[in-house]
Amino acid sequence: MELYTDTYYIKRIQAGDTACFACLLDKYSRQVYSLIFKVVRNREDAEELAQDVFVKVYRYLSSFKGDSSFSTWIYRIAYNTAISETRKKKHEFLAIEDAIINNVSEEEVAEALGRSDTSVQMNKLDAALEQLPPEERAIILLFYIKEKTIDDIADITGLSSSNVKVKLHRIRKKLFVILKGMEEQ
Amino acid sequence: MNKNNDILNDLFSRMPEEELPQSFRINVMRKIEMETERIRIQSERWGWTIVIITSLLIAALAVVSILYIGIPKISLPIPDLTMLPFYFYIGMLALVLLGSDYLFRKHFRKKQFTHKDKQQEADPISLT
Repeated sequence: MELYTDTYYIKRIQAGDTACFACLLDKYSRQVYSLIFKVVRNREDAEELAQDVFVKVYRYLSSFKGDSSFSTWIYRIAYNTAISETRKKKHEFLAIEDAIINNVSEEEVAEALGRSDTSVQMNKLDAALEQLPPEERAIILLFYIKEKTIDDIADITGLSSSNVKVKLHRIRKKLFVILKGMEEQ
Repeated sequence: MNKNNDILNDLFSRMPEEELPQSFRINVMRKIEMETERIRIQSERWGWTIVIITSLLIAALAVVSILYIGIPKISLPIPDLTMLPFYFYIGMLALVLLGSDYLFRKHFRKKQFTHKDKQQEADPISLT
């Protein structure tokens, strides 16, 4: 059970009790680091960026008005920080044609993946994620791992809810194509 | 979007969360302390800047209002400067007397303490 709410800690920090920030840090650091690491795919960069995220959170804490949940606000900062970093480094990502995307069904992928054990499936999913652009990777991770709603993801990414829905649909299909391609190899 | 019977939901739920580096908490809290100090210095500088600017503005307003606008109507009496050397002489005399008084008192106290120490060395019981 949670002893104090985020709002309680925020008020204490704004009143000058800096040590209270450690409580928010303990609650969110692992989640933020994990998301950033999966987006930037480098441990050192992820650690540095996650530290920057928490410094930004502390610096702009007064601008948090509570319109969204505190975790959504932190994820928005983490998402923007991670995406800005990936934009500095030029990477080429897999481009898949619409015809191919629409040709793959979930059942085919489920059937193909069902033949391999869990660790192999995890490795394949990780490899498939690596082939996605960072923005798409972040959206799918926020939806499945962080269990954020479409509206929360829209709030985090700055996209409209309908745009997030379309993007999620396309990213899922893309993952199916990549995973199916791996199974066929 | 329904997550039930979603193969990706099943796969992602089994995906392990990354472990935090050991020094992460310490490093972040160190940065937070540095940030707090930076904010404190910045607000202190802002405070001083505002005080200085306000003081200068008030002084400038006072000068403008007294010298140019003439509000309030006051006339400053100019003292007779012929008596200035006499006042200076008296002031210097007072300063010399004050200085010598301070030196004499210091010398007297030092002498008194040395005398007491010598007495204590000669007869330590009688003084206690």
